[in-house]
Amino acid sequence: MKQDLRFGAILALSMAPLLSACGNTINCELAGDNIRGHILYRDGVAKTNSRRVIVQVSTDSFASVSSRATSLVNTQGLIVIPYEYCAANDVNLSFRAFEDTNSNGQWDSGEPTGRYDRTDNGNATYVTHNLPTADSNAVPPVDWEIQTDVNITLDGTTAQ
Amino acid sequence: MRIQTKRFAVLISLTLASSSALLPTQPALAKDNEGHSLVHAGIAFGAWASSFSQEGGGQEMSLRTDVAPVIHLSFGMDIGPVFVEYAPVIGFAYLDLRDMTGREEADDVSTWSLVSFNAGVRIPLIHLMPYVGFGNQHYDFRYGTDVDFTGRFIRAGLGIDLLSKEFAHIDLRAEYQRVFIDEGGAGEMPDGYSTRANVWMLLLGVRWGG
Repeated sequence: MKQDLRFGAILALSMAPLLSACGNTINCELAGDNIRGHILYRDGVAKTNSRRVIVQVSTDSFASVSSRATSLVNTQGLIVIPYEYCAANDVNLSFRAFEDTNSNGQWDSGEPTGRYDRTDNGNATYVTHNLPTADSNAVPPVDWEIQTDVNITLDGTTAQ
Repeated sequence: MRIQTKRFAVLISLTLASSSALLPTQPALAKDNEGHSLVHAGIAFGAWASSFSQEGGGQEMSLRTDVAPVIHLSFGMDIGPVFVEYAPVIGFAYLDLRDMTGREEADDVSTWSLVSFNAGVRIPLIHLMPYVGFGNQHYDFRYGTDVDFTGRFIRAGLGIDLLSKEFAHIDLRAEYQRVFIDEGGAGEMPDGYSTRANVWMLLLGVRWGG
């Protein structure tokens, strides 16, 4: 019996980081990341290979940056790169991206950048998403929601 | 590149060895009134090469893969000179990135298709087999962006029976596939941007029946 309790405690402790990471790690593992989109390059961005693209996420329209959503290495020099992100539920989320040309992990003037704003240049006001928490016991049940087409266009014309 | 060449040589010799060993056999296949078999099955090894390109937003990029090994299977039915077949394909390639990045880098590219069908005719006197096909194809980059591109493809090919004995044939096929990539691993590809691949294959194989 003591063994069972110990096992339970170890299990709970080991699961805690997973559950608290963004609240959705397990759901994302099981059902897939809930933010999906593409980074798009447009004219004005110099062509290079092995370029690193950093996608950032914010819960306050980038008054502050919540976290680095993901980092992509565009080895092949693609102009359409898919990305996915496991987002927390019930918060307003905005996304932006930049090409980290000098590999210092942050945006610097002159580096191509863009916002998720549903435009073809990435220079307008942020579009936010607020994904509900899945709850199969709710009436009606709330499904795991996946937001697709969170596309971010990078151009070389504006500040971040 | 040297490794690829060796891999090729092994595949080709395996094909020839298996074909010479198996040609004399006469499997119990269903036949029509004229003694032709109504079904066929085949395996082929060969080479594939491809080009990949994207366009949109005033930008474009393209790259080519090296020639690399491919495996091709076929299972089909024959109705007179006409044949239809299920033809899954898997191929692995090596993409040399040195020209693009200026560094010693390599990338693996694979192409595979489990949804793949052909239809064609066998022209008896000259032993030619023109055919067309369609299906859904994967075109994956393993490193870097690590993306699994998929899309529908159309195919045109020409085969020739180099050697026939009873119900077994050694055939050579040349194929061209155009892949219209519409899925990039994170949902549908965005409007205004197009992604496509051209795939060429040269295959040497054994076919039983048909």
